[in-house]
This record gives sequence, C-alpha cells and structure tokens, in this order.
Amino acid sequence: MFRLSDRFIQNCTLFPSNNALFINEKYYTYSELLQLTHIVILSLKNENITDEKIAIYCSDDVETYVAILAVTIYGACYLPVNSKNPVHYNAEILLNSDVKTILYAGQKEIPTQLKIHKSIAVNSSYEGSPIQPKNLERFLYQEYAYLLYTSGSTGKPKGVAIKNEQIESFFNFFNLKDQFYFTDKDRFIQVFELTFDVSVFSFFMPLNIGACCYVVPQNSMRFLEIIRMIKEHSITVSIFVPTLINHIEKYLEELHLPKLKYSFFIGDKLVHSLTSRWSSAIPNAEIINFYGPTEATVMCSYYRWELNKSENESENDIVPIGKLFPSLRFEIIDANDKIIPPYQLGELCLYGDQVIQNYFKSTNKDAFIQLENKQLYYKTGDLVHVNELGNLIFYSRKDRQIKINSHRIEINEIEAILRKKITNTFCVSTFKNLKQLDELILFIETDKLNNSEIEEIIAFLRNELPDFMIPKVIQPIQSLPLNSNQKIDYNQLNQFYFSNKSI
Amino acid sequence: MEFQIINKLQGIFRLFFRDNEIVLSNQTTAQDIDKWDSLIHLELISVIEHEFNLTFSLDEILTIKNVGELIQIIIHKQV
Repeated sequence: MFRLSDRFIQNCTLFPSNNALFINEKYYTYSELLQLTHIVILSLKNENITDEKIAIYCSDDVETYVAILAVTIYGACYLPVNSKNPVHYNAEILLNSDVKTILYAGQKEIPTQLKIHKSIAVNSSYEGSPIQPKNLERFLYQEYAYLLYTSGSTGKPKGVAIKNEQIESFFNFFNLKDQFYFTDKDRFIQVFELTFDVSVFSFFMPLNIGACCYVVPQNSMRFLEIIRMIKEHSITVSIFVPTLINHIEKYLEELHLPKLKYSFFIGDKLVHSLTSRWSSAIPNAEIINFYGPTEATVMCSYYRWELNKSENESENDIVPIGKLFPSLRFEIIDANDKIIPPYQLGELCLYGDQVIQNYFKSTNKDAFIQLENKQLYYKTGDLVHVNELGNLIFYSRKDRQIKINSHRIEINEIEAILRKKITNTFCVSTFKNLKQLDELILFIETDKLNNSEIEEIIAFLRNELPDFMIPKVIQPIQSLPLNSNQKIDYNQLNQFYFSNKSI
Repeated sequence: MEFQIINKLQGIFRLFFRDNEIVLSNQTTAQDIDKWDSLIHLELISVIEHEFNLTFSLDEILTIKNVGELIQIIIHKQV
C-alpha cells in the first residue's frame, strides 16, 4: 500500500547528504530529517499508537514537518491543525475528526482545550547512532493519507479525507514521461499553510525526487518573503496563488528570476495580461495554470501557458484551466442536473481516481450526483465550458463560495456564526478592493454603529473563525435592498457601499 | 536628520494605521504593528514615496527589515 513518504525513504538512501528542507534559515539533509523523524516514530511506537488519524498542531518550525513525515511513515493519516486559528475552531475540528493523539512542537505551548487523549511533543535534536532507512518499517496500514477541513456552508467546517491511492494517483501525473523535468538538484518553494492541500505537493514533490523544499515563513510579510526567497535561493520550481503577482504588479518589470524552471499557479483565476508581464521576469520558466478542488486531491487539471496561444484562448482575460489529468473524467450539467454539451456553460462534475465520494463522517450527498453512466460525480460548484481546443474555461462560482488569498470561504458559514451574536438583520457580501480582489463586508440593519460595537463583533469573530474569514468592513445600513424575488440584491448593496464610502 | 525622518514617518504611520499611539524606533518591525502585512506594506511604501518624493526599488523593499533600515535608505536617497 502506497505511503506519501515512500519516495522520501528511498531518497534517504540515494541522496543522504542532499538538502531536503530549508526552514527558519537552517538546512536539513535527507539523513538529518530521517533521524529526527525516526525519534517521533519511536515515540508513537512506545505510546502504542494504533489510531487511524493523528493530529498535528502546525506552526512554522521543522518539528511540524518532521511530525508530518513521521505520521506518514508510521502508516497513519495526518490531520493538520493550524495553530493560528482560534482555539474554539480547532477544538471543533478535533472533536469532529475523533482523533485521540496530537503531535506538537516541543518548545511551543499547546492550548489546554486541544490536549486530547495523548499529546506528544516533537523535538528537533537527536543523539545516538544514525538510523538506516531500511530499518524504518511501517507500523500501520491505514486507508487515508490526510484529512483536511474546508469551509462548510452549514456553519461548520467539513472534512475531506484523501485515501493513499488517491494521492498516489495524483503524484503519478507528475511522474508521467516527458511531462516535467524535475531533478534532485531542484529547489521548490513551499508557501502554503499546511491545512491547505497544495502544501502536500510543495512539501512531498521535492522529497519524492531528492530535491529541497524551501519553506516560506507564514508571517505577515509572506508575499514579499516569497519573492525574496525565490531570488536569494535561486528557486527552480514555484507554486503559489495568482494574487501574488497581482500584489507586486507595480514591480513586475524590475524582477528578473532566470533560475526559475517552472512557475505553477493554483487556487484562483489567472489573469492573462498579468501573466504575460510575469513571464518577462522568468525568461527560462514554463508557466502552468493548475485547477483543483480539495475534493479532487490537490489539483486535477492543467494548462500550459504560452503568450500567443493563451491570448487567443483567454476569456475576459482569464487563462483556461485546461485539460483534466488522464485518470479523471468530467461532465457538465445544467441547473436541473442534466448533462449538457461541454461547449455550453454549466457546472463541472468530476469523477475518477482522485475524487472523493463523500465528506468525512457525513451522510449528506448534496455535493455528489449519479450521472447517466451510473458513476458518482463530485459537483464542484464551478461554472465552466470547454473551448474549441478542448480546454476547460472557468467562468464563475454558482453559489456563495468565494476565495480570499486562495482560502476557500463559504459566506453562509460566516453568517451562521454571526447569527449567534447579531440579533438585527444582516448579511455578508463582498466588494472589490483597489486591486480588484474580493474583500468581505458585513452589512447590519441599524441606524448607527459605534466603534465599541464594531470592536465587539470583531472580537467575537476572532474567537470563532480564522482571520481570512473575518469581514474587513462592517457597515450599518437602514434596510437591506431586496430584488423582485424578495431576495437580497447584492448589486445594489455594492453600489450602496461605494456611494457611502465616497461621502 | 534621522530624528526628523523618524518623526515624519511616525506621523505617516499614525495616519495610515489610524492609531495615534504608534511610537516608532529603529527596531520597529511589521511584527510590532497590528495589521502590518505585506499588502499593507506595499501601500505604506507608496504613501512614504509620495510624502518624501522618492521611489523605492523592489530590491530595496525586499531588504528592509525594520524602520531603521527604511530610514537609512531614505537618507541615502535624499543625499
């Protein structure tokens, strides 16, 4: 049975002195990483852990990455828990997942509410004779590789559990002949929070080939740190969200990153005109636009960007999301759940080796549909169509799910939480900031809101939700505008916000 | 000169972050001020460019680690 860390173990024999990880200004070779990992595996063994899933309290340190490797080598499923999220939010996830063991970095404090049945500290030092890779036997044969929680419209995060064979199928795409030319000399950048599934690619892909993973600190200067690290460490493979080039747009012409071989994008719409300017800064790199919901294991479609071809193919300046990986199938359905021809606009449904068939511990099948070929498809909620060249074109979401800095957010989840606090009528909406990126705004039906009322709401939200789900603006409004169907008119709300703002 | 620049910067920061209690020193970093992230940083740099009538290169922006280093670059550009 496949394990995420199988190739890492092989590479500890093939490239023991290669750098495997760079984090907090320090390098760790394959051999060193293996020693650290082995100590954690011994702790798990000594504690007689036989759980299906093991939680990891994630922060920006080598111990967190060592814990992930240890759990995968041990043969269990890992559940990353973001230490920056509110304790209440994390406690809910731990409760839902039924985990009994949590690993955390030894030098850090873990909140008492998260100290579940067994809490095991991970340390970044070791003594004694080095372990040989061949002696790293597997202890468990659990079905799942990792379990992540994404925003859920009912007010509670929902679990996506990815099986070992699903992640194996995902990585198989990158092993296809002539697809990518990665070597053990490559330097990958890891910019994602470990609760975001693209981190599985950024961390494990370099380890699969004997290359090095450079971890960007998750501090407030993250976007600038990414650029600084790509320059300073001659990164050869980057993967980040398109919003990054949006943020540094003013400086794109000053950038020169000749060492970059691959520039991968994922997580949001890629704008062609900006990509064209970005391409001048990376003369030796191939640009690929990836797409994929967490439910389809990290990414499931790709599009190789080329200046002239992509200019013709982009619609509304948005680059296509391309073709599905070979092991996946898709259908496009209309609002009545009927299959329509692919050139017509409709909801993208996915089926195949990488796609889940249900949410973790949930019997709700609303997000899944059995189509005419009797297979169960995942309904992505993404409205797409296929162009003349057979490439998928993303148009918009069909629901109220949005992305902010690549974080997937169900607006309904925020509203469900706010109902516990606000008794007046309210709604959460979005507006475009100066960089044309979505920001959250909360409208409350009231004559006036004073600063202390606003601060009280924000303090409440900070206790309940991760930072990226907290509205940037709280706006009083006499009454929410309604359309002819008596539903909230979001276009009018937007106009109200901007006219009010200019006064 | 350094004293004048830090005073002017403090005024800019207070207005920008809408916080009259901000007190800058050479050692102040983004970690010390709530809401100071890389996006805000780029907006703040634009305001500073406007107020001091100068421009920063991307390389300069990437190397600035604290207010002291920001002041040194401003002094260098004003000479």
